[in-house]
Amino acid sequence: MTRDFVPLDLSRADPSPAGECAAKERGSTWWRSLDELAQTPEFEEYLHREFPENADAWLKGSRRDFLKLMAASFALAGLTGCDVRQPQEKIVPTVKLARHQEPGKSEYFTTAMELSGVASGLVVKTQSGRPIKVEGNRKHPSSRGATSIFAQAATLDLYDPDRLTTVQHRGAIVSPEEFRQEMAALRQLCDASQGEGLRFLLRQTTSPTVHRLLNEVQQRWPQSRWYVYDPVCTDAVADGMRLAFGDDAVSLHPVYHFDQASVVLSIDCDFLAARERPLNEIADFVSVRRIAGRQSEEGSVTTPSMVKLFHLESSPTLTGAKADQRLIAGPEVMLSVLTAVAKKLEAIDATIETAGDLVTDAQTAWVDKVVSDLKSAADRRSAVVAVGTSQPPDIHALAHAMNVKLGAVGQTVEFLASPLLRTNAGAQSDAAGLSALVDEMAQGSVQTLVILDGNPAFDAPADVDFAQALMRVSQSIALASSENESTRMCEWVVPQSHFLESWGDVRSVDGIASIVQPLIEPLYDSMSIVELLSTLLALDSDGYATVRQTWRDPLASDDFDTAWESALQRGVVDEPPTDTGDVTLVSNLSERLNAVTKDRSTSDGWTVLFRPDPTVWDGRYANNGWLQELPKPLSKLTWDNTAWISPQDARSEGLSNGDVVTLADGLREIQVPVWIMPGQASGCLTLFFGYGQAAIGRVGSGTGANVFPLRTSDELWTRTGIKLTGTGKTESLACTQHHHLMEGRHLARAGTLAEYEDNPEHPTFVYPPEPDVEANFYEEWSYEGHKWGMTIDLTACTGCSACVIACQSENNIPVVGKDEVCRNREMHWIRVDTWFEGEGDEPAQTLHQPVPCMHCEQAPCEVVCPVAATNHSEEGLNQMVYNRCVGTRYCSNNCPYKVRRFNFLEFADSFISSDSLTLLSNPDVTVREQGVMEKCTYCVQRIESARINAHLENREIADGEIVTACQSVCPAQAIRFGDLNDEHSRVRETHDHPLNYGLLANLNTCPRTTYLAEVKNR
Amino acid sequence: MTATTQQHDRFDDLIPAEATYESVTAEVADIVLERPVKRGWLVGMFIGFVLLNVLLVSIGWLFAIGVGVWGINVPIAWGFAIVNFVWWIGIGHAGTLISAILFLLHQEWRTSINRFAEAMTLFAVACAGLYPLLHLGRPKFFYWLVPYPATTGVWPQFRSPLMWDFLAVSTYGTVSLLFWYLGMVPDLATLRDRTVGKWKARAFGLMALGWRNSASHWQHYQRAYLLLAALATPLVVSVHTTVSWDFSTGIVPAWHSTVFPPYFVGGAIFCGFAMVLVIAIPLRHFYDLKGLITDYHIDCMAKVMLAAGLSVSYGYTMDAWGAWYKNEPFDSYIYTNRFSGPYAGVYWGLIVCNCLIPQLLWFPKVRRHPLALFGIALAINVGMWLERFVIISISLHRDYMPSTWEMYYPTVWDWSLYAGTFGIFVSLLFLFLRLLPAISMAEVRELVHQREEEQT
Repeated sequence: MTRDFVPLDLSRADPSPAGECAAKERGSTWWRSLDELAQTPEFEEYLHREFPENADAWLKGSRRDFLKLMAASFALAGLTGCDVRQPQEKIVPTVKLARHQEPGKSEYFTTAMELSGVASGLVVKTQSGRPIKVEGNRKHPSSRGATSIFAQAATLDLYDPDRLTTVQHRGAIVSPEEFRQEMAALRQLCDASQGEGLRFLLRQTTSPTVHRLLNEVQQRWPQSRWYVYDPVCTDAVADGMRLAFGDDAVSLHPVYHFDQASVVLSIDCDFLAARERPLNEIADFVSVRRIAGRQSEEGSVTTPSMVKLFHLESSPTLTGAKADQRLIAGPEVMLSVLTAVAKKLEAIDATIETAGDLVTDAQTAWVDKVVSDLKSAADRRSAVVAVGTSQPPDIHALAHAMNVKLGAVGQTVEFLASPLLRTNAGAQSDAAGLSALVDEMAQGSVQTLVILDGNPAFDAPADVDFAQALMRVSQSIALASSENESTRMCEWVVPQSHFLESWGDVRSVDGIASIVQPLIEPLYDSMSIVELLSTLLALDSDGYATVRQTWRDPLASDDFDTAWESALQRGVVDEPPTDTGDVTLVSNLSERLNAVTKDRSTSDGWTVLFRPDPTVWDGRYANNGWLQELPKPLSKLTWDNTAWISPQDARSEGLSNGDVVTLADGLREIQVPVWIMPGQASGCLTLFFGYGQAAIGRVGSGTGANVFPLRTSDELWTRTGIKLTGTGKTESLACTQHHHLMEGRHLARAGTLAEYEDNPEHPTFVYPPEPDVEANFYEEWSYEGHKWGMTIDLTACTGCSACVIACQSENNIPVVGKDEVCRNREMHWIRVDTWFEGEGDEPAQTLHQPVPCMHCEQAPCEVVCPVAATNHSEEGLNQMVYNRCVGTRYCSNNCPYKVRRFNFLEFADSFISSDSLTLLSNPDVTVREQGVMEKCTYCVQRIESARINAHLENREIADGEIVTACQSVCPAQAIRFGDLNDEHSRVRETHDHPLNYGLLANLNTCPRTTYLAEVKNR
Repeated sequence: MTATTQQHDRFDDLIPAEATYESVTAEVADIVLERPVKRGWLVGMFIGFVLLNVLLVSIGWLFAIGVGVWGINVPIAWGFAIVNFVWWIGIGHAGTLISAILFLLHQEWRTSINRFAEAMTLFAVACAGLYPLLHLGRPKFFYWLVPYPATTGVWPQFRSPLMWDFLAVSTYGTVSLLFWYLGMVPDLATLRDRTVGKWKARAFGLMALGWRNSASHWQHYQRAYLLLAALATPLVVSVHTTVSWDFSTGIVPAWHSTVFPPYFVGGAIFCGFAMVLVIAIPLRHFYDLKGLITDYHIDCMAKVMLAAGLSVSYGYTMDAWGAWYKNEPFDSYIYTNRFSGPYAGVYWGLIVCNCLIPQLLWFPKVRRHPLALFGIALAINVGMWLERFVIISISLHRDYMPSTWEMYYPTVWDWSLYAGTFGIFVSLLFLFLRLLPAISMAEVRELVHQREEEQT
């Protein structure tokens, strides 16, 4: 028997609480009244009941009833959305001032985030008060509209159900008020003792407000100290500055301007990886690199000059993959090579003792090429030598000397004041500071330790036994976003607000400040660093007021509020630019370098390089499923870290992928699976830290291996003398691409600049000999109106994979987990293929090729679907009708590009496993159920939204109005999308370029997504 | 030699010399009506029943969790389900071929094997028919493949070979059932008349559709049977041709081939006859039917198998030759991969089973040696399964973009569903042997009659 069920109808269910909720919407204090309303028992019950009354009827009901019920629960989900509130302070949307929210309408707000002390500006889309998609802020100088993978994944972090939600004291949940009382007690204690034994430990940060508050703490309690430690620390940069330019220069740091360069020598400087380095470096580099599509970028049609990139590295990087001439060498050889280059450039005098001699002809030849190209570029002051943070100080100093010699300073490289907060305890470096702090802690002289974000018990160098020392601290307070090794040992644990729910500020590497604007009230009883410090100081504990206070003086205009609003609206604070630091090389550089080089001991055994993991970074993103499942560049591994080993070393050790080895330094040992990486320097292993956490959450705990036990504070990035022994065990690793050779197929096409200039109208490498396209019986469909198309410039693409995460976030793509990735069931709609060319050990060429759906005009997938679930729009979109799909999967078999993804299991539901994650989904995109095929839609929801807007304004859709998620995020601007029927569209320019080709086009699929062949400047 | 002796020899091979109307009827009908349930039958039925339960559990788990319980992935989106589908449907070819085509060609040796061959066909089609339904991501919507006037106004997509396949298999299943049932009507009447039990008589009576053995009945019967045979004949060829279109209309390198239809039909006959032998040899042994299923019968079937095997080998050769002749990287790589890739063992296994072992059938001694023939027939069934695995899954595992190349590892649920369909097959077969006349009494009696006429 079926019972009549009344679906929840917000307009009709009067006088239900929901009706009242809607009715009060017009009032200005709507949110507050919802608060009041929420106090009523009936509303409480209404909110917390999972299903409406009579919900159990479905067990006895029909399918129709069930569907009605589903509709009702969606409505309720919307109601839960009412509980998500935007901050009560006035936050300013970037596009227009909205006095009230329109339901279903997206709003965009600027904010900013930082990663290991590098800031980027963001624009975040919110819907019904919940942030759902992160984009880059075009007005921000270092993001320029692009973002890194970490920014893209920020929304998932925000809604992570494993976040800390309550204040805990000795493991017991206490009220935030109790913590405030504790802070007040601490304040009184410190007032009495001048802050004796009060220590703060922070991660690298650039926040002016945090800086200001710490200074206030210092002034009030002179005996207190703060320390900064970040596993991805920039000590070597500072030390390099000191070595080359003297002690005064230590507060400066080099900022590169690749757009001014014609020759770049990069020494393991992975500026194309789009991780922690400023993203504008990619945009700058690509602006002088790209061949096709310059007209619309620059308005010039002349044959473009092309920057040449030399790269020296021990372990493959994305920048190395892009390089025109890459030299692979172990760390010691790198020093020799660089010294040889510097000597030949006469950047240093010949008295310097080379660490070693060049051993191979390839090295000598490479050095000669580098020197001659740098010299010729030096005439135009367009040469630059860039160094990665993980390189030792002497290499930084050598590079500085070369840049000075090449006339790069002030042109392609500038020395600006570093915005980073540094340890104030008089230590030479952050790592030394941490050691000093731990010594103090071990002696018992630290009374109160406040860990403001970070997990030092996990990520401190192994010789610094932070965890042990923490036991001796009488009062420890940890502010952390999730449970971790450190919070487990701290007396007080305070949940940290996400940057999307708290006020703050950051500074980019070139000193430009942005306000971190919250888009949502904190979901839990959490605090930001700013709030905790101001609570401690008994200032206004409100983050908003504190941050505004910081900017009151710098923005000393007549109308602070206007200036503030403008800063929020643009996402950038209007300040005079940072002064360029004045630097001169020390006179005794050679002696100094000799001294450093001599100190370096060499020992037998393996050299181990430490790098942050490319997706979970130093471990802070280990509980982020999107990042865990993002294939790591080059290796295409997910969910695990490995030790990279060169193919020749693997052969001699008898190791294959996934074999677990023990690495030991005599004191400690770790076990980690190896991964054979072509292009890895022989004798070197690369370890990626960040994995192997015990407590971070359900997603990240227990994944990968902890490699910190081998990292020591004096050898943070490179360790020598490590012993490797096999264990005989093998671990299964989830890799999304096993085969990196093109097997003679012309998939990713590449040629040299010379080849291109030889025949710019018909470059031979773009049109390889291929069988003819078979003739077509049918008349071609003429696409009238719009004809959407996409081009992907392989010259620009660096393989950073930001597009993959952007797509995942935009299109509600589920995470499937390691086991399912092992079964090749990952769901990414766009993947980045990595191809190696040449001999396996040292690939002559590495190419990256993002592969989304090609939206073939003659789509093989469409004809084989028995139920017409995939079909073609009249604008050329290959569409997927999810609720028509029965799941025969023939379309996937018949797709030559294999871009279709199938919901083999109930992926979406198991990913959206908790209430907070339901807030994450983009409401404009259907969540797909089990048994349904899905794939790239060209972000059809964005096309439609642009169409609606244009229609409302009674105009045509403008070129560039539709930006797909992958296109928007791309730091290299490699992706263009638009109307191919529009002769003046940006996509048409690249589509008609001679470098343009269709992937597997000889199958007569007529792909709408096409590629621009990669051109290298060899 | 005179014509009479030749005639005499012909019947000698088909029926025992002493066979009379009565003896033929008794021999077949007693299995159903008189003989007690033997332990062998119980064991066989028990195995079938256990496997049937394995099937139910496998389907239950599949519906509860989804097709992800199998080893399929992207790019190998079709695994055991489709391999088994094609394999079963291939097996389901022999019956109708024997009944319809051989009937039209007046091959009298078909008479004593056609009934259970047809039954086997039906059971195999039943097994096969499960898979396309079960392999769907959302099996609850399988009916969207049916061209019915839905209120949504959406029709199936008639360009899809899966649509054609759906129609071909369902048509084939229906016609095979009708053909089998129609052929059985006179025998059902015989059983009705011979049985003593009231309920048995009623049941057989219902099924016999009021058959009274009158001349006009026979006249209508013969005409209908002939018509159905004529109708079933093109279906034998069309169903596997359509199944082959599932692949050959695709763009996957090893699928896109014009040789597929004949080569698939050849393969189906090959493996169908192998399955008939796998059943016939034990059947005539355990039920002592050597008089009705003679050495001559199995010799004939072996010859058909040999011919079909040669056509299949020809198909393999032409396929490989075509791939080489096209001089195109994708197709030629498919064969490089088959010869020496990770699944090379499967490919060479199929060559041994389908091309080399059947060459033994050139020897008459082997053809008339039941045990050897049984072994060869089993090998062919295995080989044909491997062939479908090679064509379907191995072609998918390395197609156009090497970046997407992956491996396929069947899971326990892949195997259990396969084993489970044997449960249907075995259970139905054993029930059929117990409850219905396994050999056409009417047709064999007709042979006896013909012999008498010719002798007099």
